Amino acid sequence: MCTAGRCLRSGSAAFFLSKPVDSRVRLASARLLCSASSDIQKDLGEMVKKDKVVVFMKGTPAQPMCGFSNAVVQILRMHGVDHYGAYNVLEDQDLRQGVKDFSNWPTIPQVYFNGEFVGGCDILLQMHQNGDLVEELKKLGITSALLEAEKESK
Amino acid sequence: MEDTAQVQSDQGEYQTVIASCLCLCVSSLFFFCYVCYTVRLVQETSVNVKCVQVVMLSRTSAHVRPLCTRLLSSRPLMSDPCRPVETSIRAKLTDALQPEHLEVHNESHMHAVPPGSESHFRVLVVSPLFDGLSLLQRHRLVNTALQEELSTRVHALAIQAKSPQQWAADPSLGKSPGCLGGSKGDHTVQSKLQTER
Repeated sequence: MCTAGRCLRSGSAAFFLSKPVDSRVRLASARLLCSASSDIQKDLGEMVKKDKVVVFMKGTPAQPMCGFSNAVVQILRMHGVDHYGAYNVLEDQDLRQGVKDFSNWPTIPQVYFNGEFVGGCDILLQMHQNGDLVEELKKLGITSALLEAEKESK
Repeated sequence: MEDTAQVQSDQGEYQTVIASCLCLCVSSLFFFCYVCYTVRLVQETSVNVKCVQVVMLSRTSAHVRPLCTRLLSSRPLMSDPCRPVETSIRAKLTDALQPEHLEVHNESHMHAVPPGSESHFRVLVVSPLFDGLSLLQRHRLVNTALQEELSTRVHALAIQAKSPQQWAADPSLGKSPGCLGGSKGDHTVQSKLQTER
């Protein structure tokens, strides 16, 4: 299902692609972004705040095109985080380079919590392993599914 | 009498045939084992081996490495023209972070890139400079040290950045996820591989 939306640059058209209702993951086409680098930086500043959890990845949550991006998706899924903004950098090279400049981070995937850069796959994995991810999600108002499962088992 | 002699003769021939077949089977088995061993030896000593799994268990367990990685690791890295990117990564991380323990693993063979590529790496850095720093700060230090490589030749970098205390508590190397083919046909990767050559 596609919904036409207005790009931040006047006169351009952009498309939001919505996933089926059950997955509740919103994907955004890179065509939302304008080609000028300064506009991309401005767009990114808004994109990372649009959702509590934002992921810039290769591919989509349903079909990741990179093992590291897939790891991020799987970790979020384990914690029951189904509602987040996911941006496929493979669709737009301007977005791909723009997000690296914006974050000052050279690789993809990139994860944002409440507009703040968290890190890549390695950091998210370590946060998951040491329990910090549960705490960070709690700050976002998200109760981790793992926490609930632990409570139920007790 | 003649029947008995004939029977004995037949039995002798029968035994001879059986013995010959047994010898042939045993010889074939030995030859087969020799061929398998030779093929495996050739595969393990090949520099451009396609599938290398470096599994490092905890310090209390045995470190298991295939023969090829042992041979590769034994080659001096200080000025290895065959592995310039790996050599550069090792030198820069050593210079910038003064690590107590450093591992640089070329994981390009796990991805959809040509054999012999130096595009995907995993680094394990144990340094007292990481004490008190967040994960993000530590990784940024590594990224800064390898800024040139990351902007030119290296497409992916997996980082483990530990303090000496953390390494002592958990001396294990992480494992990268399998490739999902994202590098295949990715012009960014292709351009970096061109830069490498």
